[in-house]
Amino acid sequence: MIASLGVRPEQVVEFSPVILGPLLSFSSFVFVRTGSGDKGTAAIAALVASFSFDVTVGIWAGYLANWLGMIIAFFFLAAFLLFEKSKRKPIVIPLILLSLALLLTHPWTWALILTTAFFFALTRPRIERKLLTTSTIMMIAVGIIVDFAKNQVAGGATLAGDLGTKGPVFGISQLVTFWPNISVALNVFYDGLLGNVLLLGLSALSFVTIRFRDKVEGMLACWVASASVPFALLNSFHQTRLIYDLPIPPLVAIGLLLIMSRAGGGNLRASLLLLVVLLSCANYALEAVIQA
Amino acid sequence: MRKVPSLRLNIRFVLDDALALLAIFETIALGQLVLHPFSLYTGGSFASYQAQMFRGLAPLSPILLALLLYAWLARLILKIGRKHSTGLDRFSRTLSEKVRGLDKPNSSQVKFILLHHHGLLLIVAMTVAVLLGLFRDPFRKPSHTRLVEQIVASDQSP
Repeated sequence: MIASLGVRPEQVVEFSPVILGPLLSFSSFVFVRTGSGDKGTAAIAALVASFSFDVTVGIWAGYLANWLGMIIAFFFLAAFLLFEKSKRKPIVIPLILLSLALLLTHPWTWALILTTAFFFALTRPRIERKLLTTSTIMMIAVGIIVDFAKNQVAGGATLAGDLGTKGPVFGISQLVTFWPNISVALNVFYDGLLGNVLLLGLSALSFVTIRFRDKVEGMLACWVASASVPFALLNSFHQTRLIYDLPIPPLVAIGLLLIMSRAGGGNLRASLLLLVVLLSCANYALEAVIQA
Repeated sequence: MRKVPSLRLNIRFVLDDALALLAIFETIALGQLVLHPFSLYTGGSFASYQAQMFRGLAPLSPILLALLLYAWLARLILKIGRKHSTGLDRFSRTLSEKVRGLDKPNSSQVKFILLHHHGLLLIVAMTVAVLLGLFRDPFRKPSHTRLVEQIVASDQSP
């Protein structure tokens, strides 16, 4: 469609970050706001999203489909949280459409996000559980059918077929070399862009301390837990793809707010903390763009 | 006898001053990167010091990522262990109270003036993302080639 407008593919690749960047910020905002109702946390998540791995590694490695996949994933999970809250069945239709958009954009992200939604559904109270798990299973089934139909019509590998090719890079042998794998994944690939201590530290802090009070925290816990199991069994390059799919912006926002509220010193110290973290992230992102 | 709170007050000021200095350092580094992207590669610039600081801390990143990914597993093991060991149960309760205290919602969070302007922050975030997408080094090397080299190298390593 874009090619018919006379735009060259190189131009699309060159200028996609201009569209994908703000969309990622907006989708992170919508996800956190829908889940927690806290607009302040959502705004910080949006700010962090503009400097996150999705942007830096996305530009460095040209992971445009994966980047767009993350945007759709945030919108999908926001819609899922809305569905959980309202229990209105018509919301299932946009949910299915978003799920299919995600599947056709980046199938691996679709698999991770649907697993997250399924585990989140399982952790809900019994009254809500049945509706949520049934809907998620239905979305998975529709996805598998569409993936198969796409394979028949347009060719290319199905998700299951692609999974079969991952044998050499997946298994217990990778678990034995877990530590070298994780070190290579963070410090070698993409010139070490994934080894950002500030982003990972704040995410870890939030994940260690959150009590799963609100739904967004529960969803984030399911998201990270869903990624952590295959992570241990994959080689370093595939581990980088899972790190890319982690919900870093909302986690950093929660961690940063935790420090801001605990640091004391009122608005001045909180603002200084926020400023230092954001400027540091901005420097990191700009360095990444220069090196790309 | 001298009052102790004055010392505490000084420590607070030191913390604020340190944060302000760090913010100035980061602002200058950002300015250098925007105006002279190659200052990243020239020694003695704030931007290069910032990059060095970032690289110096990078060895800690695997520990933090492991903590992020497997904290839920540690919690689960602790939960099961509590049922079988009273000592572990006592330790876990103490730890849990400390962590819960850390996580307790703070009323000061509500008072953060900056967070009241969430719409403005969102616009800033989206604008920054657009500018970052437009920022280009005209002499940049193709990163795809380097990525393929990195994958080949990691596959060959034992």
